[in-house]
Amino acid sequence: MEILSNLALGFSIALTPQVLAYAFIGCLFGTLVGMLPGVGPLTGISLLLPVTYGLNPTIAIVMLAGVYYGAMYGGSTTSILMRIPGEAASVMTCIDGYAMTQKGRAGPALAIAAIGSFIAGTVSVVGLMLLAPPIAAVALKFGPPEYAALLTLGLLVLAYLSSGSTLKMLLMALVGLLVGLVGIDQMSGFARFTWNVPELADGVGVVPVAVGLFGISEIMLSARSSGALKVQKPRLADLVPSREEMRASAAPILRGTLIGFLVGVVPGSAHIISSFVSYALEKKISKHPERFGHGAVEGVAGPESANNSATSGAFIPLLALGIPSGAVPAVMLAALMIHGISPGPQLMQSRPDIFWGFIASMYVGNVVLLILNLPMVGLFVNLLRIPYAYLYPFILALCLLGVYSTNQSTVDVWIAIGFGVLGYFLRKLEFDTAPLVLGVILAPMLELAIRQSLAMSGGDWSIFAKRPIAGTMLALVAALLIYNLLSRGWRTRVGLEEK
Amino acid sequence: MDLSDARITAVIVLLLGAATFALERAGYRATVFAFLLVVLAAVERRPPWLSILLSGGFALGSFYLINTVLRVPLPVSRWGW
Repeated sequence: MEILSNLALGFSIALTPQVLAYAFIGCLFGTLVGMLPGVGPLTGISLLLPVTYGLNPTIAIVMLAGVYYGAMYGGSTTSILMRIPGEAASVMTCIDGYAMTQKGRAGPALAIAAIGSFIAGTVSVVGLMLLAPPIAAVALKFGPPEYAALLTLGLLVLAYLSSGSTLKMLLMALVGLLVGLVGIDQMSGFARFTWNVPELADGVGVVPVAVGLFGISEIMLSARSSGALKVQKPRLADLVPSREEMRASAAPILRGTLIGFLVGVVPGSAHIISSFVSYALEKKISKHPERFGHGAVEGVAGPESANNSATSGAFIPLLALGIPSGAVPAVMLAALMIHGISPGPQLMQSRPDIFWGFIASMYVGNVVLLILNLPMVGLFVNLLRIPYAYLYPFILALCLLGVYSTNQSTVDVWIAIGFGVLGYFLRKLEFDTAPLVLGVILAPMLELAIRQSLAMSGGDWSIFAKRPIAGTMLALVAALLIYNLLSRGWRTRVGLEEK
Repeated sequence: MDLSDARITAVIVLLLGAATFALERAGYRATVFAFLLVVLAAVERRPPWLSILLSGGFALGSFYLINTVLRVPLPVSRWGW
């Protein structure tokens, strides 16, 4: 009953005209950034961040969350119509979505993607609503040692679950942690690695790092692809899926929702991994796996539901523990902190208006997106007719504007350019840069938690092992590392034997 | 490592650097106008009249939206533009 009364409070906030208007703006902007190659949800949120300064914190987070799940919807449109994933989570949708387009079934593919995203988005918000309060209640018992252990575990799990080499992921997380240490030491007040630049006293901001790594570097890598795209415009009448397609999609949507939610809770690039896992599962359990890759509707329904469900799952660690589970929630955390709000276990008690207003706005946002995406898809795809040579200069100008206006500082813009160049080379060398961004935002939290723990124990490191929750989590960290070393050794031995 | 796009990358970095240097000196509108004009007309060789129109429209429009409507301060040159 308490949940229902809280939800009623949330809806009383989310259904005010002002909140609705900003949720709509966020969803619309998110859909557009999701469709445009080179501008993902992270860049979109970073660019919109300065605009939220004059707003109240509830409206700010509602709008930014709208950008996040709007981008998930938008990304599927370009994947299905043009085989271009607007953002990384839509890669799997390209395979069967585009094959359906080639068979003249673009409309039903878009409809199934939108319906699946809507169902997944709505169901997973129920999960978020039910799970976040009990997790937050447990987290209230956490002290600095537990937080230190949880953050270490989170970073390590991220490195294991991201695509690509674990070593590269750990290296990126480490670089992020080092960058996150720049600024005034929170315990002693000494300035570290600031090179006498006063702007660095507050540390390296997550916005310039994220815009540099994800926005500017993407433009550098894709600026040469200047041609206009050939776009298919589906008509509204063509959007209705057949009875057979609806029946085939029902179970994959439900499975995708569950997978997305569970993967979303775990740190990592949740929405990307969840769509991969969902596609692999659908193909594995299908009676006709040979249809996958040739226009199987299950290959669209599953991954699209999973990536939308993962966005809600990813908010659980952020709202309940104050710990972002990926790069996008990390930027959302920065946004809340700018407004003087610290997400975490106390948020539900201290600011129920923000927590429940946000939850309710996610229900509203999913309805807004369904209305936006189905009838207006033909209008949105016109944006992709603009040659990239005209688009990228404006995206760069938006990056410049977004980074500068965050702190009114050109130092931040220089940092963004520097990270843009770094991101360009890292991506050429096949490094995933998401753990770097997460490292930047987690470093101050992790450092503070470790040093507070050591202050509590008088410098005795065994405090991390003596406390049961922290000890268990660190044992998990050790087990993961040992397992990785052993399996690597085993693989090497098998490889040698095969040779 | 394929560095076939290194030239355009270097041009982007140089132009972004120049824009950052000029931002607080020449003001937001003049800097963004010049940046977009150079990229569109000189780098991408688009028609000059269209480049001027798009660059001017974006520089003035975004300044009005961000600075005037949303009240997020953007740099203005010492001459007031």
